[in-house]
Amino acid sequence: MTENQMIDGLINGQEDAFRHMMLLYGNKLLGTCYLILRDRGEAEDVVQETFVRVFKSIKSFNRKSSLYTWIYRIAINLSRDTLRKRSYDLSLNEELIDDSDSLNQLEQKLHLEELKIGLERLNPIYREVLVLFYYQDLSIAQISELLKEKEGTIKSRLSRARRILGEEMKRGGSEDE
Amino acid sequence: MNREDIFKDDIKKIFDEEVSEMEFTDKMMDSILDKTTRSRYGRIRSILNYELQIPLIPAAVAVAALLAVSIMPEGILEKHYRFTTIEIAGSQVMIQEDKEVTRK
Repeated sequence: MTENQMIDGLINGQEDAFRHMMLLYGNKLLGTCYLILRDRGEAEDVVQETFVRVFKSIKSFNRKSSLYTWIYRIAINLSRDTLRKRSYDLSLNEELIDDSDSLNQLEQKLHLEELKIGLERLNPIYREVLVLFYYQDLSIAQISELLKEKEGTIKSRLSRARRILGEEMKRGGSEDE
Repeated sequence: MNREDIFKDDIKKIFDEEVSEMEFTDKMMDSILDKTTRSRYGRIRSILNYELQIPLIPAAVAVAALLAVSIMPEGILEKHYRFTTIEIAGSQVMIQEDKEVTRK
């Protein structure tokens, strides 16, 4: 089934098309939401709500972007709403980063545990970009389209996220600032 | 963007590990379909088609018990008492001919 056939099926309310779409995107979408939310129940709720919204508003899908991008945009927005409800501070701190001063000084050998701790502590806005970039293997351009942000913004967030992780690893994952 | 490579493999590995137990299940899919495409008839059909897991040993024991009861001759478990009525001094006395052995 091609994407266009699938979209046509979805518009016509065909269960087969809907099932096909969920089989195609369900697992990866659930993984992405889980990595952003870090809560299994919330991730499942977001995925379910995403598919319900896709079904309800598929007729408004204008086919300018790929269905994949459209679905992920819904899921990311729902994940952000969920994070906001949890009172996470999603304020952006998008200061310009000087790329030349950080990672070269890092030790070459990375410790996974320290990195894990760093990822857990990372602000969700940065974690979101890392998930899309490293887990979803999306390009900067694709993430930019998905999040409706400029490519420079995405690059900056990625750079900032890596720098925070690098600093975290320098500290050895300890709580001390 | 070459500097990302020092994180790339490790971050991907961590993310893959974290989601390794996450699975979009049939149950989730059915729940979504119930909220969207399915008519009432479709929902009933999906319930009827739902895969049932029956524990084999208890099920076999139950079937064997049912079979035994159904092929057993009728009345085999019923006890038939024979009574004889005799008259002693104008009174009727019923005597049960079966004997029951009990331990005191």
